[in-house]
Amino acid sequence: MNLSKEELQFIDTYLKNSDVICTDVRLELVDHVASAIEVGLEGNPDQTFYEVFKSYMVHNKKSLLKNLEEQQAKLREKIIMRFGKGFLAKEVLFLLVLAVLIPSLIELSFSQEILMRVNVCISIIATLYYFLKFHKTKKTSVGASLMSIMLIPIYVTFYIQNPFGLFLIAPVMVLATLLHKKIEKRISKDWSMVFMALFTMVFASLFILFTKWSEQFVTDNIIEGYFFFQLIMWYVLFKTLIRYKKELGIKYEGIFN
Amino acid sequence: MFVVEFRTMSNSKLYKGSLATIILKLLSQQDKMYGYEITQKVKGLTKGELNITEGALYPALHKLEAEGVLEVEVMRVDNRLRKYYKLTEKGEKETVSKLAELEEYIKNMQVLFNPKFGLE
Repeated sequence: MNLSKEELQFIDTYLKNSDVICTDVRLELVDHVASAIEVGLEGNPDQTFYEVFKSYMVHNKKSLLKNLEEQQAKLREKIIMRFGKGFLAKEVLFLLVLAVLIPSLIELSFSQEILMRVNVCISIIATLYYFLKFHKTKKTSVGASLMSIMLIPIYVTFYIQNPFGLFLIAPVMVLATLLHKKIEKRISKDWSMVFMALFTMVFASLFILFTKWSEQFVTDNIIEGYFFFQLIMWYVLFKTLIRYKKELGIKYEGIFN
Repeated sequence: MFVVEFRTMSNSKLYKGSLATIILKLLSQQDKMYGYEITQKVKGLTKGELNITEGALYPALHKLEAEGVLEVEVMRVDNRLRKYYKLTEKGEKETVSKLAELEEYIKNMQVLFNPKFGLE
């Protein structure tokens, strides 16, 4: 006896409320619970879905939700490793060589500005895409990991443009995090992002001190090279994400339809 | 850290570390399997003596996947997504060595604990 869409939705919502936030972990658990309930219903035809579900959860909830952090960490580890390996691709290595050569070979007065603008545009588009299309509805361990990686080039871009910009980003980040956690109703449980933002503020001060000292060594060529490298980083990031989605074979339309 | 539940819980420590080998052995006999199927297969083969819990199974599967021993295929089955696991080329080699290791272990245990073998 197959479960209906509403019953599957019920299991999904229950697990989501039990802090199984990431879709890629939850889809497996939804299938596990649904399979167990289907077997339970076949063995007890006089019982309803809710009765079997309740009985299953009484006995298995603890075990089902055990080691969740560990499971999500393993998925994150996998995707970060894959991101790292992405830099070893032939075309990426070729682009990296260009990133070193182009700034020293070609002296273009506007190249730095163009590269920075392209980077800022990609940063904004990527962030909007993530929050509107990916994060809110279908948060995955992969998405969360890639978002953390994405933050690095975004920060560095702002930092190069204006070191004091980091002071502006940090409070915005704190507010965005608090708002997001409030929506997820997890505000009291997870303060890690807030601490990360405060940490950024402290380090922003150190970065500014570092800038004063390093100004004597930094040349335009190095900055152009960095922006070029950052474009390659975006390329590897999106390639990793697309590859992961392709691997799953389904474009994250949802756990069920 | 995983826990394999048994009817006699005091024995569970003896089986720690064998879960990966159990998974690999099952997957070597079948092209692909999903989580619930693995738990039921183990339960069936051991006539209900060995019950692998969800909290033990999934971290073990994800660990093997991260190590490149298993690969994943997601399919739509009965209105929902199902994640199937299958052995990679590396996984097939790993299965052979893990099984040989386990056989060696069992042989040594028999020598140690079976008086007949012990006297020979």
